[in-house]
Amino acid sequence: MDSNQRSKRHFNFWITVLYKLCGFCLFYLGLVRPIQTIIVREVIAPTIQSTLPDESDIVVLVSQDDYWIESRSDKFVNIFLNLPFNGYFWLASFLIWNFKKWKIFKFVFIYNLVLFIIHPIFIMILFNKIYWIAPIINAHEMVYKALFISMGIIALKEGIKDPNDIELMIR
Amino acid sequence: MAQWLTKNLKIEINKSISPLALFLIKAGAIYAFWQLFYDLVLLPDGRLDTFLSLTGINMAGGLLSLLGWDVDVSGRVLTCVGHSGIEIQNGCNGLNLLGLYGGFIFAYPGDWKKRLIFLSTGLLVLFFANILRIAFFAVFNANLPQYWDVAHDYSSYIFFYPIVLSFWYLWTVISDQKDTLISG
Repeated sequence: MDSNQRSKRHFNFWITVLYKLCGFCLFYLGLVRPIQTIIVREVIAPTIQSTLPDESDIVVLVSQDDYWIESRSDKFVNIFLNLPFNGYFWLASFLIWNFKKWKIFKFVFIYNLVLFIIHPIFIMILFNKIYWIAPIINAHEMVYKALFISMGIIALKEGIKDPNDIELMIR
Repeated sequence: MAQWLTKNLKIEINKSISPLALFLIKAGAIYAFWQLFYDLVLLPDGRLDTFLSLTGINMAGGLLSLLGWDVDVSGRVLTCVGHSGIEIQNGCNGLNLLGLYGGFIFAYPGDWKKRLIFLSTGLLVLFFANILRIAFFAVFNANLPQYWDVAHDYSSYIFFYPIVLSFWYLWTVISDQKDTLISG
């Protein structure tokens, strides 16, 4: 393959990636995020708040698909949470799936399922007045989200390195 | 002796852990440290947050003035004269995103000299992107205040994430890492 063909393939590859990325954005911002916003506002936040006594110092607030738990008297740092299978999952999955990195996709998928258990446990610990858990919850949120998109970027880079994938992408 | 042991231990660890797992452990540790440091030190201290918020507001105000807008800067509030202003609070100044960006650059294998150059360039670009974002907010709020929430919620997808992801990708290319981290 001469350099002209290679750069043409490269260009086509990136056009395809951008095209698919636009599709992903439409899917996520137009469908997934609005659904998650409704679930957070109508189900998650009221359910968490209902487990607290009326005179509780803790309050659950919502902004789009984020919900955060804060103490009115600043007993702990504000905790920002998202539902499992949030935007970070979808972005990572989009990249990993496109480049057929199945092992890593399985890991990301299973970790999101595990989040259904981890988040309630964290919240229960916090509501039992073990406030030192708050920064750990925030650190966990940061770590898993950052690692998901990191894995997506690595999948993208290594997908490009694999000539078979380039062949598939430009068909 | 101690040096020899450390060197051999490092080699053994590198042999037994896959490159991807090693990257994930490193990155995870950096991100956890950063978030804990932010929550336990930087946030209560507030000086870095305040500095970033005030600098961002002042530079965004300067940029808009340069572009011919009549603006007023007062503390953390930037106002296009005659309209309601915007306020940059701690937590909205992009500091967390700088940590997100830096964690990957630190953890992904590569030459340290290149890494430091790339890290500072990226942080600087993100800092200026935040200034553009603040300026955009002020102008947007002056013209379309009814859509403020939409602009605020989606601004990261326009101003921050494309930059972070592009720089991460560029770093994986520039760092010239030949190893494949992920198998199929």
